[in-house]
Amino acid sequence: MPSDQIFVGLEIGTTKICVIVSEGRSDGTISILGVGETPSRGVRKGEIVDLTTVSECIHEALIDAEEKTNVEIRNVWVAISGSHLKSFNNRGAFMLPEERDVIIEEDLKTVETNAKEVSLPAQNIFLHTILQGYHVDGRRDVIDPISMECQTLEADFHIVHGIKTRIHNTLRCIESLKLGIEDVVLSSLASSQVAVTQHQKDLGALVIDIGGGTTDFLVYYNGSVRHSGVLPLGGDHITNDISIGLRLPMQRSELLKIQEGSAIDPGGADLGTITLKNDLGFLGCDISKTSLQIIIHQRVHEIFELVRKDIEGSHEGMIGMLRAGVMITGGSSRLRGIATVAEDVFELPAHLTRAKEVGGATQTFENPQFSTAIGLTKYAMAVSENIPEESVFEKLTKGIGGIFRRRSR
Amino acid sequence: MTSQLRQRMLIGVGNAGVGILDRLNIENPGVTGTLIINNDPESLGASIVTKKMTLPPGDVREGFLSIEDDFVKAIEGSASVLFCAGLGGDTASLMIPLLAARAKTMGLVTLACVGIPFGFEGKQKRELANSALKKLQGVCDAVAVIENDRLTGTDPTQTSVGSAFQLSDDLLYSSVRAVQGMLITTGPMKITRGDLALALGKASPMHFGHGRSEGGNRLHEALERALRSPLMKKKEGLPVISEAGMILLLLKGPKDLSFAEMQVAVEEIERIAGKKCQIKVGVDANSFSTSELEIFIIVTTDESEVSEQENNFSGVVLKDSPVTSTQMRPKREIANKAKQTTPAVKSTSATNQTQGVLELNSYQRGRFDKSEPTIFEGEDLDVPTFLRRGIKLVAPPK
Repeated sequence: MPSDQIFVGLEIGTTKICVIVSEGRSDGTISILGVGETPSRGVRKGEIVDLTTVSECIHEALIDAEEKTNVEIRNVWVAISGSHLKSFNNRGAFMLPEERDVIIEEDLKTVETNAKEVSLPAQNIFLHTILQGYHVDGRRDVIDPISMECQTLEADFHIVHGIKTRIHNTLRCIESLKLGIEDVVLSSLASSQVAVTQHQKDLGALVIDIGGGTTDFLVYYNGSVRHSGVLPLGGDHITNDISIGLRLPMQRSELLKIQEGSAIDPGGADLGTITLKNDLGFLGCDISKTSLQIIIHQRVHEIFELVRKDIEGSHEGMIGMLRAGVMITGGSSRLRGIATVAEDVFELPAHLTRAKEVGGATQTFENPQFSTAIGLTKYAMAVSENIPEESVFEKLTKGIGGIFRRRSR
Repeated sequence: MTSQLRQRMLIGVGNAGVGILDRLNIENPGVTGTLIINNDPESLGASIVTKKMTLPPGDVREGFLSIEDDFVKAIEGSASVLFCAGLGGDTASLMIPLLAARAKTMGLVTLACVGIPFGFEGKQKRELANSALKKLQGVCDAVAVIENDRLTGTDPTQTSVGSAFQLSDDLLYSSVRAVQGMLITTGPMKITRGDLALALGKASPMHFGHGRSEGGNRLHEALERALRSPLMKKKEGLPVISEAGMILLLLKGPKDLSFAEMQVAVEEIERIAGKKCQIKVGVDANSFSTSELEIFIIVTTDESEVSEQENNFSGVVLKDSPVTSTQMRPKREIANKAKQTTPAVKSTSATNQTQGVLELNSYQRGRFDKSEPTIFEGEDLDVPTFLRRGIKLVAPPK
């Protein structure tokens, strides 16, 4: 790998749009040079609903990042989310020709192509084809089969796909700013690059990135991705619930959530009263802290229940095998007591996590809301050597999107 | 002669019926098996439908007798007859039950798609329509009913008269095409007449949606439009599909309609409706001329939502006084999942306001009010969890 490359990660979130500029070092680590950030407008539940406004916001975040890092940004890696993104696991097989009994690089591409020989809905395209492991004549979990003698090569993949037009709209938004797009990456895959360690992936971990508009999750088992999903629910729903339940304006509810909110179930306890002071356009009032906690607890518990249900729907019994437990990141992971609720729902140890093994601006990587954008730059560094010279539109159209061919780490 | 035997007759009665068949003929040139019956010579003269029968003015019974022989001849040998009309007027309301009864005596499968007039069209018209509907339901194998009052949404004051009538015409036309389409599905998956009769024969009102789209995202767009149809909502504005007992889903499209598209449509419906719901799918993918995909959905709920009284509710509204927006507004039913209520908290005169009454008897979506609902297993997840689960909040101490 060329030494000291600059990678730029762009996350278009429901709450904020952020640009992380990182430097990839020759020792394999990344160092954050700076972050550009702006509140997000025109995004609902992780999906763009107003192209022009979102383009303006991205522009603001880019300017901010360029000013802070003194780096001229030309290409970005983009994180994508939204409940239209679906996934499944599939196996591709390939019988070597009779005149050859040694696996070559070409065979790896063939099994991948074969694994993608599934009939996606006409409007969907492949986003990622993430390798889980090779099988050489039935021998499981071969890491590098090249040059091995073999008759039948098989490979398991985790395949992520989504609606083409929605993915393309994200890209158009960025291209309207004359920016180059290196690749589009599933948000949870990006954040898990920095939020969980390799050891945790090997043990088995559920990574939950709970943001403003979506909850993205990814299951690692034996070091590779086994399941992924996106729920169109996040911190905005918690704020909305508070606003409805306690009859408060949205902004006041958001502030209340941050300052006083907790996801812990109050049970029958009376937690007293919180007095909200007068503010511009808001007459002060007293609210019940117990009610606040009930509202938050119910929503958080439900989000985790839905994640659990989604995983168990595809992989019964898998949750119990995740020895590293649940790793929670994303902006809404800062909610008090969220890990306790996760432990209750998943019956696993749960931890709050953020970008690890990263250097540079401490304030940035210590903040879990930047996990995805930082993870993008880590992902970029991991795969940058394998990027074919073609535009991301071409890659997605041809269904090659997701160049993460190496065993997912 | 064989093709004649397999023919399914579509019969428009009255002005609305003529309008529907005209539209069908314009959109599907060369369509066969259509017949219009009316007492308005002008309407018949202007119609492009070739088979017409003119009713003489005066007594409807006599009018029926005058065309009976021709009518029998016209439908003889058909596999089924589907009547369409807007009920409320004399011609359609009084004639259709007679025609349907005659068709039934010939052993034909007899169906009808009818519209019930808006409340503001008058009590008499509604009574006539309801009486005709009752007779039709007694005679026909299945009756699809478009209740116009349900088209104006939860707030009729926001709907213009012109757009309401247009919507009514569109939906009646779409429902005719849906029922007709479901009858003629020939693909590997088809909706049987028994399914149709079962779905339409329930006492609850018909919940019907239609959407069409073309291009790369046609399935999702068409499905979204179908699900957003005003007839797919209950009077409270709640999506009815979440309470569906049975769903008939018809995909009508070009030859290239893929298995995957059908699969996604069914999965999407199943996801929203829940797995307990029975889904019957029909596919009619025989069009060479268009890449457009159309989705028709008919939903029936397990419980009968509309009682006899409610079926006549506009008659009550219009009893003696002119219609007001308040009267027209449908009564708010208490949502079944959040029936618990908390005691109201009396307001205090303290300087600081006290938290208000924590009512749990209404669904609210807050900032997500205008965004696409997040439906999962029949629940709208944009509605606060504590409300959907009927969890009581506590009022702050005074």
